[in-house]
Amino acid sequence: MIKKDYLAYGLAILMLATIVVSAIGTMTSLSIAGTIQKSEDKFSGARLVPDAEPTVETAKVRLFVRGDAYE
Amino acid sequence: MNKQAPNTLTAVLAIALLLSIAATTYSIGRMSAIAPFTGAATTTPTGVANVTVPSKTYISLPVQYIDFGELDVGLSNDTSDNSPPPFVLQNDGTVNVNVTIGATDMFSGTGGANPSLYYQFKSNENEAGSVLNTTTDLITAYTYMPATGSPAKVVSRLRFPTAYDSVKVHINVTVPLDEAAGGKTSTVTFTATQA
Repeated sequence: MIKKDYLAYGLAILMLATIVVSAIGTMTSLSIAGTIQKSEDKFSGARLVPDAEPTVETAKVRLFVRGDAYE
Repeated sequence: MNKQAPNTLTAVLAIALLLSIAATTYSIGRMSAIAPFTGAATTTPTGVANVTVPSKTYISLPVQYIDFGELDVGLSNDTSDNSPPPFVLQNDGTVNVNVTIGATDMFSGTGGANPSLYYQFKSNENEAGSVLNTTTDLITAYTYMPATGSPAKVVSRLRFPTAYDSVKVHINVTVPLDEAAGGKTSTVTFTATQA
């Protein structure tokens, strides 16, 4: 009977510890999420989609001038 | 101990339960403050999806070499008869573009530096509807080829839909009378900007 009580108390304490750790983890996650959200807010007025930049392409024109002598 | 244990245990469990409920409520409150929940059932279950396609200029040259072969001094040749084929300039981006042209000198004879009558260009549609206005958006008559550093319009408002997104750029060359024999090459530069 005593062993059963100890087991019950142990489980209850373990549950409490789990809840405390979970709460700390949740608070940390919320804090990080809030920081990220604030960072994104700072960029809300920034240019998220850049204007198209100029594009350059090159090509070649070739010919051969004959060297025939004129009389 | 044996008598008190169930009551104590019940109290501990009740505290744990209350703590859990309180923490969950607080978490939901904090998350709602950061970013309101979406996706919950409502009386008007509609949604909006926003997609932004970025503006992108990208041109390509499916035909990027023109070889006129051998020419005597004083003689001309052009690409109007498709021999050799003209350049084909294609808009592969997501916006209409204005394109300029400039080139390095082809000839070194008297008056052969760009721009000159010895080296000219013009443009026309390769696919009907590729420009908004064929009168104002194309260079329909042969025009002196500008130097690379002073580019000039070759086509404006070149459209991007695949079915009508390309133009031909024709080249006309005349060999100056005092041009030295040998191979001649000119590099043509096309620069596209958003229309």
